[in-house]
Amino acid sequence: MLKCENVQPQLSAYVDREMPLWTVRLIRWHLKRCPTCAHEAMRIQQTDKILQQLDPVKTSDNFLPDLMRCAAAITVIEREQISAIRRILRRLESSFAWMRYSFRTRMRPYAVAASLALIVSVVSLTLYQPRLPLPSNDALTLAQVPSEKQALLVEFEIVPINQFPKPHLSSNRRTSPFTPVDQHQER
Amino acid sequence: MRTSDEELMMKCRNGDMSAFELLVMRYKDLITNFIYRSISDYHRAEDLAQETFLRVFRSAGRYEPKCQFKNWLYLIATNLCRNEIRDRKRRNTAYLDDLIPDNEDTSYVELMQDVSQLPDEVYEKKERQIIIQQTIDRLPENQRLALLLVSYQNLRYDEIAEVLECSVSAVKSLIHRARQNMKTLLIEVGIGESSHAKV
Repeated sequence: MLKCENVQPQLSAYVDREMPLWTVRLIRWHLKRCPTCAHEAMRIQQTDKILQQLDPVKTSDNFLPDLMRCAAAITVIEREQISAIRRILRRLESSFAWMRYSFRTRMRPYAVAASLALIVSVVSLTLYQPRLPLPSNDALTLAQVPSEKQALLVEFEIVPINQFPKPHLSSNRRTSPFTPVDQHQER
Repeated sequence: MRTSDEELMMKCRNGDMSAFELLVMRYKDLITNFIYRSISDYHRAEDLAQETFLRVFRSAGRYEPKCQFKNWLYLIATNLCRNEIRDRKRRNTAYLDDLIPDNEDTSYVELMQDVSQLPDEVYEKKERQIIIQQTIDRLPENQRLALLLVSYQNLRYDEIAEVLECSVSAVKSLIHRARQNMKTLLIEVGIGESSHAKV
């Protein structure tokens, strides 16, 4: 349940409807039950009504012509000061800015759709695995191979690694062939 | 179809004076009112409003439509108002214009032409308006600007936060305090209900 000290600082925002709907409902519910806060809210609204009593002022008739004259003078001075290249650069810069702006405001949905499509295609290409052809069942057994061709077949034997025969190394080959031979020993 | 302010500003950036004129037409009254309520001097308010638009025109080349044009315009106007208020404080000057509204005569004439109101009613209304304006002037600078932006310019809190360059919660608290102060000051001057009149 909301307390008065929490509600009262929120009343201005409540009067201006500058809060989420659920908070508005909570405060409205509190105001129905708390006459002090309800009175406070009413006084804020009254203050606002008093402020609205001020009549708006209008600009004088010379406002716009004077302003446009000043603006035109600024343009002339700038044109005289800025060289042709800088003017072209500025025009280019402004058109790029305009493109950026229109992209941000108008093209955003298209850009989002295009990037989504790109992401989907990249992901699907990455995940796609082409199916390799399965081994065919037309392999021949040894008995089916003609006898003259049986000699061509390569024989092989599967040997477990612990039963693999150790290489036979002769005693004179234990030393490296590149070891320098001691000349005294040779004599 | 109504061309958006940002599009007009981009045209203005390319040197289109008619786009600038259209922007001025859209906002001149709003900006002048805002400045007038902030500094209570009609002629100075017009000068500052013109200065605001000239600043917009000068910086059109650098304009990037990152935020709303309206907020940017109010930001420039607010900065000019702040400078003016601080200058006045520094000089400690009381302007005659502060005491007598500039367009008083013309307003009275306009109001007198309105036959639906009695002359004393017209006078009372005018007096009341002067008192309200003087009460607004007594508010601290930031509170005054925030209150004016929400009450007369109908800006949202997030827009005001952008204009005053602070957070939305700061704006909320500024407006709340401004209204509290306003209420007290109005009771002091005899406008509005006293605190224990009705509970």
